[in-house]
Amino acid sequence: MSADLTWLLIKNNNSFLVKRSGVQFSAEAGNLLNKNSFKYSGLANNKTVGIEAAASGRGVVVSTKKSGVPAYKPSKAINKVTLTKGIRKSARSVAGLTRAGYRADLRKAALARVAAVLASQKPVKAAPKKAGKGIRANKN
Amino acid sequence: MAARPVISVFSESGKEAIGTQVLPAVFKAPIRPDVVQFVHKNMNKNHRQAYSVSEKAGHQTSAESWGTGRAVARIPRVSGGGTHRSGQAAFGNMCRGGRMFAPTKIWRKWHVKTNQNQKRFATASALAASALPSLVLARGHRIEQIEEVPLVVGSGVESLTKTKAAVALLESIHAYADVVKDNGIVKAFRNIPGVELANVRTLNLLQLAPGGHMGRFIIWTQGAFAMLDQIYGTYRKASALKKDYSLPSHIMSNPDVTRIINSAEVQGSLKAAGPSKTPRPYTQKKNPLKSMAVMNRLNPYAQTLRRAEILKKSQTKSAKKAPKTAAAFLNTLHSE
Repeated sequence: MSADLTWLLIKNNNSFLVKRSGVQFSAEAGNLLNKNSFKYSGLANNKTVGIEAAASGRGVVVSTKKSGVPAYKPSKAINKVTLTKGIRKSARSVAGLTRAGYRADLRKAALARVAAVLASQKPVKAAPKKAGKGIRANKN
Repeated sequence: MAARPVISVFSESGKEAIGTQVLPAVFKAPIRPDVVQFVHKNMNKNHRQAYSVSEKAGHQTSAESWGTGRAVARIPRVSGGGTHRSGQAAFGNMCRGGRMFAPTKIWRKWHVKTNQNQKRFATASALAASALPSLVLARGHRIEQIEEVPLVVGSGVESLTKTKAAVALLESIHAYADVVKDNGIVKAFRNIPGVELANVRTLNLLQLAPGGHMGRFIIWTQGAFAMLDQIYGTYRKASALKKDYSLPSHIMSNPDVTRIINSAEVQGSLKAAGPSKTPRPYTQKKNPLKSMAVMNRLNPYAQTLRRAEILKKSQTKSAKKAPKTAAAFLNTLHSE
């Protein structure tokens, strides 16, 4: 089944499509920008790159579609790797994955998503409490 | 048509494959959402119940128009006095307590006939869609963990009589994730929410493509799966069980646009790609009045003219330089 035809069948309506307040998003796995377009679709494309936060709360899970496995075997078709060694090494490995021959067009989006996921996992620093200025703040 | 893969048949107990089955040809039928939606829409109308408003509604009053001359609209008005109702407008669809516009009748055309071949086309199409993981996923089924699509289990499941065993089977083939997604409660056998049983001889489009959306997750028994080629026929052979039926043919045999573009036939008949930067077919336009070279190219005599001009100028200059009076003046100057 060609990716182009699959895209024609699912682009107008599928269970992952979120049409709300004038914008469209698509929530399927393997969609790097969560955008409803053929390029980023995780359902239609034969080769996809998925970047998700690891369930443990640390690191990213990179999932790709295996090319050797026939498409009708869903449980075997996805390859998942968890990267936990920090942003530089994770980004390096994702950039190496999205090479010529495997979705080089997604490299920029994939790296951006890795960075965004890892940034979201950093502990939130408590903002330092500002010392009050002026006479009134120092009263009582 | 493309080669048909061999599908594994899984045992009732779970993981291991107990046999194989060649994919029935019906799974290679064209996937046509337009046909499925059209047929689904029409078939879905066939279990409607007739309804209408009461024949008498809005007409149970003896209202008469007051005619002209009383400075009110000529709509029929309720006769009599002694109640608020008297004198109020009646009957019209714009009136309070009036009848509706074009009251609904029970003899509306509730049912729609759908051509048998269209129904079969839609069913074949929905079956073909159910064999594509991306379309089944797009319908919302949780099939990430299952081994194969279409999922075929041994015919032994037909003898299951207990819900417990049915749930265990679904769990062992990793299909239970698709059932519990609704957080439903298992109530009784054949009443697991989201699971419907269907006979392969009488597949119903309303079940195969709920809401007209193709790609329902189907678990087949081996016997049913093996029978599909008899029911729908193959692309070489007409159906054995449906009279004069053969599978719908495809509009195009290869829908892979990228592959068509990159094929040797298309690439061979294309012009070779040129350099990334092509020179402009013309040079920059120059003003002949400002550029001497361009003027000379246009008008070769211009150069001669210009030279003559310069010569003439220098001659008059040198003539002016030596005025005739100079000699006499010098003589006077140098005389002792």
